[in-house]
Amino acid sequence: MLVLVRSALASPARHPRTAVVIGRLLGLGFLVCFGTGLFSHYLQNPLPGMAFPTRPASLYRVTQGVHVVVGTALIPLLLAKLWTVYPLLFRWPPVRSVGGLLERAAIALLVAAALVELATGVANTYQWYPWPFRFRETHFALAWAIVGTLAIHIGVKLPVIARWWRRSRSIAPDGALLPVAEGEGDLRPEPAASGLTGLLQRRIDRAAVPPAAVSRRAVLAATGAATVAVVALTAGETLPALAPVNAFAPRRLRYGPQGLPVNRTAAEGGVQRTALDPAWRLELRGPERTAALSLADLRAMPQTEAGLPIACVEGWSTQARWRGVRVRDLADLVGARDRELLVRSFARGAYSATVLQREFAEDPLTLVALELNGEVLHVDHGYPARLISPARPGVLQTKWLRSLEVR
Amino acid sequence: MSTGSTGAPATGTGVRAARAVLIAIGVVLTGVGAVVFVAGVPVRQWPGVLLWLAGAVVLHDAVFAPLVLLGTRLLRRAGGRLSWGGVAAVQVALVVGGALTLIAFPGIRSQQLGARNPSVLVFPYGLHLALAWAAIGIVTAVVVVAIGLRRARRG
Repeated sequence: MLVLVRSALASPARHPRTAVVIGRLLGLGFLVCFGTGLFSHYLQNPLPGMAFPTRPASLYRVTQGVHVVVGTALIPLLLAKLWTVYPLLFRWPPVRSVGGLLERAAIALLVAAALVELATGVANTYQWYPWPFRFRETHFALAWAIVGTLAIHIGVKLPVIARWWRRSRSIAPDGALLPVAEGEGDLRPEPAASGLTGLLQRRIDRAAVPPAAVSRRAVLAATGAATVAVVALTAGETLPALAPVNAFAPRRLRYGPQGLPVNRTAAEGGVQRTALDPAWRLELRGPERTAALSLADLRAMPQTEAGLPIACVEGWSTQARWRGVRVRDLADLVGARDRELLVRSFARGAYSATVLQREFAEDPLTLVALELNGEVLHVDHGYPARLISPARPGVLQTKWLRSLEVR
Repeated sequence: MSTGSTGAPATGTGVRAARAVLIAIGVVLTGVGAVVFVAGVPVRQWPGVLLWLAGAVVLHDAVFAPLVLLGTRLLRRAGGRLSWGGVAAVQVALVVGGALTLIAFPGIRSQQLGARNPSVLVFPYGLHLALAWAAIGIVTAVVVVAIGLRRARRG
């Protein structure tokens, strides 16, 4: 039975060389996503003693844009890799040794984690959350499991990877893949069976099979074209050059109030009334002094202009012009210079209090912004005042500010 | 990849050491994954995570891959009349369309459930997907006809 399944699955392109060509891109992509993901994770949950670069100002825009764009590209690549090695699922006997059992267990975890990571990651960017678990913590844990089992997988397959790494040693002059010899990989042609199985096998094999070179090129062309297509039609939510062909991304560049997308509206934050209250004050709490500044007080202070992006963990980003008061000037008023600050919003829910690390608080481009793109802040962008700082995720650019406090 | 160009199977000491190091690193990183999972995800959510992990494998291995196999066999049967170049063009088209469908699906579903605000889910994803399939269909038809004409001219 399994012989017949494997015979039916036979294709000239299901070959170790195909697995290597797609697999090395896939491995590189997962590493890029892991690195950019860790950066984003620790920006939001810094370990004690961690400090982050505040320049270039678009650093997070680039790293998180890459995270989501590469993660999207990994979907067709992962499916193509699984297509290539799918016949190995029907190997008989399924395991030959304890080592083989552990290897298959590692691969099972790798495949499961990779599928769930990409599926939930993409759905998350569309703000669709159909799973019964915490996204962020699960995404983080699965990422470690993926790079871990990937390292094990590469370690186990290293001789096969080395054998099929180079094109010159893999492909015949006519464009077909060289036959796989003993010890050069698992995807070897199915030996002819005898009896009834053999009869059925010959029937399956009689069906026409495309020439080997055509088959190999079709698989690579399909994988490449699908990868290019999903990237080209979605990356425009962060890459200006691709914005004109953006057709499937959740966001559009510069689309939203005052030319900037919004994640949480004033209505969602429950702040419509408080935000428009003329009695609003920004409270500053330093180690020795406190102060409460009205909007007029803030406008009377020296104003700084900064061109800074809003870059969301979901991968979209848009550059904007901000105007407001430097956080370090405000810190000066209450003797809180060179200190980590607790930033409080009067919105309810997650991120209503965030930590502004010392290096960001000190940066001359970190502002309590009062204006966006030449207008008074829209209430959905944080009126009366919001935080904006370079090279940080959008969730930490706290809107509807209540206070800045020394911890 | 030190032994990659010698032509012999890569089984030297260097390769053995590299394999051991990779597997050891892999075990440590997977262990970190287990620790952060236990630390970060509440116990009552573990069955849900396991269900999703197992479900993803089953969905791929028992539903998606067999459907792809079926499609491939049907296409190959039609291939005799079409030329193999034509079959390859159709295959590429189906894969590209399939990938775009996977990307568009969460957008379509999330839109049905309602966007949080007007700046999220900004496109009519269902319409865009239909247009993409139409464009893919037209381009593929042109390519298949062109391949057929070229073959006919060669006789």
